[in-house]
Amino acid sequence: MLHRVCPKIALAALATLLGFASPGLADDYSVDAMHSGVNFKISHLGLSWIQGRFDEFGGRFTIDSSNPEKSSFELTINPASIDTNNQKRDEHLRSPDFLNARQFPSMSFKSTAVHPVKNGFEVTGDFTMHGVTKPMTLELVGGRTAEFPKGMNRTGYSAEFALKRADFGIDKGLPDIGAQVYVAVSFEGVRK
Amino acid sequence: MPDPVLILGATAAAAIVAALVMLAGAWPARRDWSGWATLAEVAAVGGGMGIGCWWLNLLPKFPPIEDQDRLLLVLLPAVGIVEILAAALRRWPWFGRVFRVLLALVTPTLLLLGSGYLPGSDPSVPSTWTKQEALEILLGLGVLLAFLWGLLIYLAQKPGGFVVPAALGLITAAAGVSLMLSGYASGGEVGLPFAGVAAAALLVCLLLARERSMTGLVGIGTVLLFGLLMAGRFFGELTTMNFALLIAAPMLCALVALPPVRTLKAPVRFVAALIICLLPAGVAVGLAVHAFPWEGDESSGYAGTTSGGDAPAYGAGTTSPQTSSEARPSGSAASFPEPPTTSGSPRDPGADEPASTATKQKAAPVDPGEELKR
Repeated sequence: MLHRVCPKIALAALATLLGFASPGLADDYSVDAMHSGVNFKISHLGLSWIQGRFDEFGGRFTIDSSNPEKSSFELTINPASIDTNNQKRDEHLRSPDFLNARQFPSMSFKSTAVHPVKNGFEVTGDFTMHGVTKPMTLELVGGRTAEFPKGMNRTGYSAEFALKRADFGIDKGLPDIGAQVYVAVSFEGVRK
Repeated sequence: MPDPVLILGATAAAAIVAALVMLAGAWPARRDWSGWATLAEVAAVGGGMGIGCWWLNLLPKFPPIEDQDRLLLVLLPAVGIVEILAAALRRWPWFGRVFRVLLALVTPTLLLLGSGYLPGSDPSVPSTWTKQEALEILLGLGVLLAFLWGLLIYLAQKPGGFVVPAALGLITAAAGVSLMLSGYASGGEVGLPFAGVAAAALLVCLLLARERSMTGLVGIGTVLLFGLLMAGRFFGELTTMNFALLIAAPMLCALVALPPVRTLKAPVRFVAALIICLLPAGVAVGLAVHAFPWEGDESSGYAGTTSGGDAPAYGAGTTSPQTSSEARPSGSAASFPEPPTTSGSPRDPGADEPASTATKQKAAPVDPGEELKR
């Protein structure tokens, strides 16, 4: 009788172990814009940084703990929502001289490959801005989780990178206005 | 505002190149074979605009993803081809009329292609117009351009039609200034070399004592003016009023055909018609200056010129200028790590200490003066 019970126990134990090792399906998150930010700075005449942000953006991401390479990240930004705390400057930045927000009404990042690294992920993807798409690799740090309010599970990541605006066809004002834009993105996602 | 000296240089260079091409084309066109003469005109416009745009660092990019690139690389050459063929096949005037109308009808769509106005351009954002609205607006704009183009070609071929290219050149320059004042500096600059081209072409014709209809220059100038105004209205901050004033201005060339003006002596008629055409253009520039007064906005600091204007509104007081190696942004410097490479390591907001890879970064933020060394 023992030889009939043992395989069943072994199978149950194996299933339990697998259950702990593999939490299950990937978790889908939608970006919580209220607790996220897309900020940037750019050099002005080499004297100071002009700092700004984009007020309107959204996105979603999927975290697959059991198979991190299957995780994905997507972020879309409205270039017309640029805010540098100066109305005239913002209007000029939205104009065809810079972002041409009415011609290109969205900027986006879509991941194509994700690799787990210490403290987060190394994410490779396509960044589209001003009608031009370029590959980009970011390091996302974060991944802690929290529940706030009760029943709403969250996680968050941050990334900082530099991009050369001329690569995206935005080359006005060089060199007085910096060639590189330093971007800092920090986002929280609410699990669906 | 862009550098006026640079703009003047570009306009002069465009005029010189256009004049040389027109003179070079005068010999094959000495028997006034319209096809050759129009070819010379189109080449003069192309050469002049090319050198002017190069001077201003505004050469169109390929692929033409922006409206200005499509205007300069696709539409204007197409107009040139249509005008050359229309002149060569002038025995069949319907040919020119049909192709002008067809090109005019597709021009608004080509200029707004891929923009947020048209449905289906970007699935991630809702379009400004519905399909019905887009159809009505684009068709209306196409009909407007077809009418303007047809009218100016007709008037240019009438006695006293010399005023048409002159008016177009000056009105396009006025449109360029209005665009620059409407927050679209590079778009406005494109209009100014054309003024030089038109002036040069007219001078050459006067020197050679040939009164020609200059349909090539008129056709290209009309579509260029229309394209600039569309770009300013739909992608810049050009008001509808200014759009209407500047598009109506060249239509006043029709006064040349009216009896009171027609009876005047040719030079007087030319000047009177030109002044009447420039009145609405002058009003448009005045309105643009009033709406967008130049305040030394630091975001438009092109070509190494410092604004020298008011200090930034967010900066209290002034300090002695430091060398670039000493300059450090103040305030929250500690919260900005050194700008990373494309695979930089940001600071984890949940960590007690910076992430381990971040410790490799310098504590001090990047000196913005290093940007000038790049």
